[in-house]
Amino acid sequence: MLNIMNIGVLACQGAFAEHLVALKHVVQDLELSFHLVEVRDSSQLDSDLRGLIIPGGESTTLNIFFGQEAFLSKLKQWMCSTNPPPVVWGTCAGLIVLSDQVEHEKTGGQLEIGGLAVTTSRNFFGRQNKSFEQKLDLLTEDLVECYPYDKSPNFPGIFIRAPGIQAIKPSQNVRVLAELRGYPGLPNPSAVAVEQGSLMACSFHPELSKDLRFHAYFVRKVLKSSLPGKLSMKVYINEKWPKIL
Amino acid sequence: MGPGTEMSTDKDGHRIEGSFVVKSGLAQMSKGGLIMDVVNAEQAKIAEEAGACAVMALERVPADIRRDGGVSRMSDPKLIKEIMAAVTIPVFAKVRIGHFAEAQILEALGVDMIDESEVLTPADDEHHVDKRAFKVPFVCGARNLGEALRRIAEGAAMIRTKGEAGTERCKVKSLKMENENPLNVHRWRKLEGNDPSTMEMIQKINFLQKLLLKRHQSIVEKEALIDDKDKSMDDSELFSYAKQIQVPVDLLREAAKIGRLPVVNFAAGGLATPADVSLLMQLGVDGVFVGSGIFKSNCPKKRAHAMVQSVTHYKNKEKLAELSEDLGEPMVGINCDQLAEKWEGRESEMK
Repeated sequence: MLNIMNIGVLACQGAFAEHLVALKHVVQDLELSFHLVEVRDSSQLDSDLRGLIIPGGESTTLNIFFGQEAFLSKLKQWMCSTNPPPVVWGTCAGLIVLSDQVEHEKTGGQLEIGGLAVTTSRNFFGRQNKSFEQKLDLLTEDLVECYPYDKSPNFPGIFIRAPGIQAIKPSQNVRVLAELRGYPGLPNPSAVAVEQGSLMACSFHPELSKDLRFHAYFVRKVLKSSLPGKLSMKVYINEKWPKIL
Repeated sequence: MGPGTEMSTDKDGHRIEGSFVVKSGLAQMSKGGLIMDVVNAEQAKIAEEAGACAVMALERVPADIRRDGGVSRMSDPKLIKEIMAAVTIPVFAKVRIGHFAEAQILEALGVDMIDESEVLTPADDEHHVDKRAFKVPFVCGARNLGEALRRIAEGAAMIRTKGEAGTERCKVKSLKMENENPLNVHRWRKLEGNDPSTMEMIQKINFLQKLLLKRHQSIVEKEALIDDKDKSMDDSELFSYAKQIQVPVDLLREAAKIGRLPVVNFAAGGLATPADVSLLMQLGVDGVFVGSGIFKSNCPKKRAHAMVQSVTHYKNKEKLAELSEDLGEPMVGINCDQLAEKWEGRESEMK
């Protein structure tokens, strides 16, 4: 039986506190103890940690951090240490480091985790004067209805010097979760949130909005990957969380 | 989360640029990071390599501005453009207090954030820039809660503390002391055969620490004020306090409710060591600006790297000890005399 699960937010730099606040709101409705932790040290990457958010901030800063004391290789090791693997969700800079291919890296290249079969371009939407907010279309019912307080088919997308998903490698089971419509010069619609196996990524910042559905979806994914096969999620999710994945 | 977390997309879901959510968003992305003053493209690259989350592009670091005296203005757009081309991280630049035309020019250049800075010569002694009118976010200096909330009311997306930048009182005094006394306080590891008594050493350390603490007192005061006013204050008290510190009551109420400033708050002014960074982060700031502290030291790359790591690991004593090791002398080569004017007093309307 599962007792306590850890969900971590990488606290190197960026909006990690905002992610923790959002997660706190989401897990308070669950009949299950979660420990929400700020991950700053590779020793925290153990088998109790079942999910990790890599938050927005600067990917170059994240990079230096990855280079310290072989953090990156320990992170990669942790990501394939269990079956099913722990869930990792990258937002903004997190999308960059999870992508298999990255364009417009800083001179000299950057360290990446990889794993998502997408090509991502840094600062794709331009500098701060091009940062924007716009409603996005949610593509899956799972996401629309994953949290009982909001069933809108749209999600408030907040893009800060955001990276863009330029290409998705076909035949790799990459599922698009949200799309942006009508952005000048981009295919209409364009994917801005994806998932593939145990990985999730988005180029915008759900933690800056009040809509908690991406965080709820992430927590569900963590639960699903961590519960022993036959055990129903009903045991853990009360009536406020009605829909079972 | 700041006051702008409400979604402000219009009904049709069209794209909106330059909203407060988007402006404060950049400040939120800078949290837990270090923003470094740089005077050319080469320094900007060093900052990026070291892991700075943004750079402040300017012609002279504050220490040199103070040394040179005279009127100091916005930097040459050519320099700012060179720095913007050299790095992929956000580039900030400074305008004089109240100089909205300089701000318009920086906005046209596409800088990522504007620092309306007391380090430059104030242009207007009555008004600060109306920052709500800009798409580009602003960061402003503040010494106390009132000043911070006035800047936020004017549209600032981020606040930083004001210090006696670059020169910092403590540094000036210790340099003066050094001149009067053959013992070099910065090289006390190398004092062969000339050991001062333990007592003397402790006194010196205490003296320096006291000065350091004094310098950052404004933050402590600010935090204490928020703590004091938190919860216990009813509406009438809030009104009277808002009047007393000359700020909009709504903003004060929000600050009291959340127990902190409603926007991201960084520390700035005279940070030179991993210990300085840790001190301020433990006092509750969201991140730090470093001016002369890096490129006026004799080992900028190493110091820059150590200070960036200290922001992430500010709670980890062992790590800090490791990071503080062998960084060379902090802020060498500054030769400034007494401070004729204290910059922290620079605020329009508040003479």
